[in-house]
Amino acid sequence: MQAIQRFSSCVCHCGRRLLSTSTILHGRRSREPWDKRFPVRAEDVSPDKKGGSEEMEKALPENHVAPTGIYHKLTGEYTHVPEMVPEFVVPDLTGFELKPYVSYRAKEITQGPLTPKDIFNSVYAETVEGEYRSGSIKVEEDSIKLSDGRVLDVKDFIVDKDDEVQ
Amino acid sequence: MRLTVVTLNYFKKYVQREIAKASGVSVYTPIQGWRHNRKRDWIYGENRPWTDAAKEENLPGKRFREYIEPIPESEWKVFKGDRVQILKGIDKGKQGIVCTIIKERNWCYVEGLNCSYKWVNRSVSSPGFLSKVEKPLLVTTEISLLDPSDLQPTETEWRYDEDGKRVRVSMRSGRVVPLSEQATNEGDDMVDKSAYIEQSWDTKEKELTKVTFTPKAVSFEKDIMESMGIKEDRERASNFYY
Repeated sequence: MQAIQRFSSCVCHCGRRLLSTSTILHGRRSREPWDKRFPVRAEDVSPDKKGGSEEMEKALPENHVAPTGIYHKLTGEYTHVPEMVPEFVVPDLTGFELKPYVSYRAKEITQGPLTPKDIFNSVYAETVEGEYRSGSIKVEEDSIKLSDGRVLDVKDFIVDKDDEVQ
Repeated sequence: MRLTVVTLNYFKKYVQREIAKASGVSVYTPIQGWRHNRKRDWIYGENRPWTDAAKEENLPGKRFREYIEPIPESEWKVFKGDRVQILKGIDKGKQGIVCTIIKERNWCYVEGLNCSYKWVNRSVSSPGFLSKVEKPLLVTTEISLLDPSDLQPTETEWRYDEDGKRVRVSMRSGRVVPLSEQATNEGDDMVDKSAYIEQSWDTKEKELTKVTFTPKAVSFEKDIMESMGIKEDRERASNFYY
């Protein structure tokens, strides 16, 4: 999703303003005085530009972008860190039928919250029932012996009120 | 138990938002940020809360001095499209169909009945035209639902029928007073569901009712990693230095 642009010239970031020393016009700055396909930005009406002023620049929102590198404190050297560039992990939506809105004609669906019980019932319940019926799980007075050798003792599940940590 | 209805209540939230905007004040303080204070209770009237007229009726200083009988949501009996008889007023004894309901004031408007007449655009040269506007009627005292068998006013009660559905029943004859098509088809936002034309951005019922989710006993992040084939062998570096 993130296109990594490699500039042929040096581009240094000084606070808010961007200085480009190349003669090649990149992206949005390919049109003069600004690209009219997009809404006006604070950069476009800055005092350095023709027709711009401090007032106009202040009226528009500031462009604050999350950093994708580190400035060395003493030397001021900028190091690009690829890990700081956000990577969008998005599933492939080809053939995905759900849309942003629901039709008025669709019937009202009742559905409660997904509880841990529901997860247990769908993931483990069948196997547990099968093992119990076949005899792999043995239920005795004080304990339950599971098929993988584990033994569940009744004592482990009784909570004594005196032992409860408040 | 699957009992709760999953709804976004977007229309309800819209109405609440409009009321809050018009009856409150947003205050900004540094560090704390924005805080919205509700200044006064909303006065419900014949105009819907999101209209300018309603907001004018709710300007600061306006006070509401009427008493409204509280009717619980489960006991509300009059709906749009119901045939009712008017018991009081100039159109006493006449029957009509309910066109609008304002629950907050226990009001209902009957189509074409109990109206006030006013000459509009009168001038020296022309008499203008006569405007006829319905006046509200109280659901508790001035209106009565009709028994479908004889079309006479009757007391009604909410009861359950053989299928378990909640229906209104006439106390006199025991006949069910059915809800009109308009009442069943119209939602909160007054959109006719049966006449709605499905668009490209609407999810249809067929897709909506498909169950494609199988619960897994695995955390959300791990589930995504497994399905996308993301393998994370790196261990996080320690954040302590001692």
